[in-house]
Amino acid sequence: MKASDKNNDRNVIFRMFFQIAKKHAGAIGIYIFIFLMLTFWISGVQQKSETAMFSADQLKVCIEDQDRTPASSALSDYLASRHHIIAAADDPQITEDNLYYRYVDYVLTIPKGFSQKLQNGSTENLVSVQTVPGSTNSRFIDEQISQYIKALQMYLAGGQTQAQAIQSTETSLAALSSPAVMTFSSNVSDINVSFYYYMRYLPYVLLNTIILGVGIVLTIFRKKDFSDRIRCSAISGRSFERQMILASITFSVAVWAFFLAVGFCIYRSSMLGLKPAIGILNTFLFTIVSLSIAYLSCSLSTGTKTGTSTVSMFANVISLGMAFLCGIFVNQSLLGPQVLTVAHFLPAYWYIRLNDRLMNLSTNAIDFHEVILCFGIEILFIIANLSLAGTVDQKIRQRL
Amino acid sequence: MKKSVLNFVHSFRYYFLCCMRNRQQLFWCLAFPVLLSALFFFAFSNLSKSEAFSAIPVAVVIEDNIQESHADTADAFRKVTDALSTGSDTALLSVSYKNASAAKHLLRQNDIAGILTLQTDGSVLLSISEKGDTLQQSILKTFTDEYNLQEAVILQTAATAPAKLPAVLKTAALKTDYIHTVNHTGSMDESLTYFYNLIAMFCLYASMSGFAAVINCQANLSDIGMRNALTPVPRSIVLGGSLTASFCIQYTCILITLAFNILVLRIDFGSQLPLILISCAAGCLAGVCLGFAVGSIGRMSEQVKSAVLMVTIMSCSGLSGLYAGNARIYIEHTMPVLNRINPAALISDCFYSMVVCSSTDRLMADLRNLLFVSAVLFLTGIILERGKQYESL
Repeated sequence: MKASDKNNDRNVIFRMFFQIAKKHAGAIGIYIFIFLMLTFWISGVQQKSETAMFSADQLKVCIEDQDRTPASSALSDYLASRHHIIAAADDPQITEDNLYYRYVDYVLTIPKGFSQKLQNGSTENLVSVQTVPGSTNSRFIDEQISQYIKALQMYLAGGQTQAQAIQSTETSLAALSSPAVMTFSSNVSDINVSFYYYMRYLPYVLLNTIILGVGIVLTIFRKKDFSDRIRCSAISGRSFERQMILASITFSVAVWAFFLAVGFCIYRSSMLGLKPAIGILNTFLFTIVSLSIAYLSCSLSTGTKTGTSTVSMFANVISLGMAFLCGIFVNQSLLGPQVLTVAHFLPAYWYIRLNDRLMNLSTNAIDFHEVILCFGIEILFIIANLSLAGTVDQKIRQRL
Repeated sequence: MKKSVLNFVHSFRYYFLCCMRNRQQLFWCLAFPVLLSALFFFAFSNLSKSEAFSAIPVAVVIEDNIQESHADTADAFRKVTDALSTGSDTALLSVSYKNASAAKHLLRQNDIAGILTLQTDGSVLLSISEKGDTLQQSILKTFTDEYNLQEAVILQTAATAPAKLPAVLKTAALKTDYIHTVNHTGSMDESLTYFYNLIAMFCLYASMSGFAAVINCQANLSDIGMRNALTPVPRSIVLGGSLTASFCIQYTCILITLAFNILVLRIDFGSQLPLILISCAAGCLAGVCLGFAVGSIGRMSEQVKSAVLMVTIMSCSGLSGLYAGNARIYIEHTMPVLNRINPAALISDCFYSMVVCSSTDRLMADLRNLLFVSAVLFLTGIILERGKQYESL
């Protein structure tokens, strides 16, 4: 036998692994495609927000001026100069829809008699508004309207006519200084937040691609006919196991390297330094966590009638579960305390926790205690998953 | 006639049993909706709280030299900031008095949104961090503007019309309530829309069952189709029985999911139970008809048709607002006709009509459109399925 044939025999399981994986490339490709689309979208949104200098937030305001006097027009113009004005809808139902779906943040109605009330020094119910009650957005515009009307009334109390008061208010508002913006240049790293957003979504796609890729192939290899055929071949059990482990690790690392390469193409400048290096190491550890979960999923689905479909179910449930509970889709700061308590028992929580700490722009200092804690717990999850999978495999073998 | 009814019942019974024994299908139609509802609940239960206003943390700096040289101004400013930080619900600010370096340290750590520094000329300077919360910063800017504006008016009046100064000061000190807020009748909780769209998507999942029923009648795509083609029973009866069974199974699954949402997760679906049941039934009907229509298209392979169906379901759900809650309203303003023919948007709008805007007219219009879309899809399926012959396979 030639040396190359011998070598081929040695790698036959390794090659077969990738041949089977190739047949299921469609299912894996969907997740990669969705993830890449998501990445480009987030990247665009983030770049837009990062390049903007400080300016007061502009909300979507709808104004219905029923008074149609210089005073009401002045108030409308004041808000129009600070916010995006949306045309008022004729149908109250549409207004309610616009508010519910946050198409409009604030609907202001300046009723008839506004100008007269202003002149009389009235302090109650000068305007009526529809908004999301108790929201920060509504409080912001409430404050602006109150500020403007108060200034007008003070000028009126000072003996000015309404036209003069409007003019004086506008002049005074224009003369106000902008806030002093502190940059903290010595402490704020100029990292690109988009890179950390990119890394935040990685666990979802890593879990799906690795569980589907490795899990499905391992399940097929464990099918009775397939397994019996390999057992009666010249390949030793040890060689089989070695090649399977090597192929699984190669597949997972290749998936990780692919996403890292995509990240490098988009965020090249942000991937240099200690913080990004820790972030990248975090993604690598999570890749191994995903591999251990894939192995466990495969062990749990061995012997079930549905086989590969069960692995697909595992992939969906585990990835979506971690994405919603651990802060991948919704920021950890927005999750309830009970949800976060449960999330402590999932590896993605520790991945996201470290990623969020690294993303924190207020300081450049790295909390190495936190890094070791998160890495340590992720490694413990790997050991726990593999131990559990080994126990399940042993039980299955005993049953057979 | 009697024989046709018996054949229909036979077809219905066996397709029903097939579906009940298909664990994979049961997972996607029953366990997955319940699981995803629970995950949505965990993820979105705090969404409305994140929108709610809470007092803005701010550091106030009154340096010793100002405290000594402008004691009255410093006391007045302190009174203003104290007044704005009282009341658990109404407080605008959460104030802590610091010296300049301590305040800067807090700002650097992102523990405060800004620093309010009283200056020697009586005005207030706002300092903010480059990367802070812009909405909080904007509110702080409005506050400092108001303070400085009032200061400017008082100084201007004192210079030009000193006799009017008491009146101006009185106006400045007046407690005002210029804004009357109109109360809403319905809920304004935006997270509800995600649950409505989730139920809408699961109604459309009925299409998978309807799709399988059509595939089982196509001899070029399945073994069961070949077997069915050989039976002396008309295809319309076999298909009718299978589609009815699909509808019944999916409707049951949706009701279980809905019960889980209402009874366990306490999601607000309104109190009009008959209308909720009718909306779900109309949604499932649209789903089954969608599966029937897509499954009947051409002679493509099952995989291709299945991919077309999944893309259709996910696109309808996405456009209805499953991924971004307010997608529906943007479509309403740009292409409203899409919201009238998208079954997912119509189903979620049925729940919206009941809970948020309490409009029976709108609900009836949604149901009418949903039935119209179902009829069009069903007729499309019949037209496409009618002439199919399998003489040589």
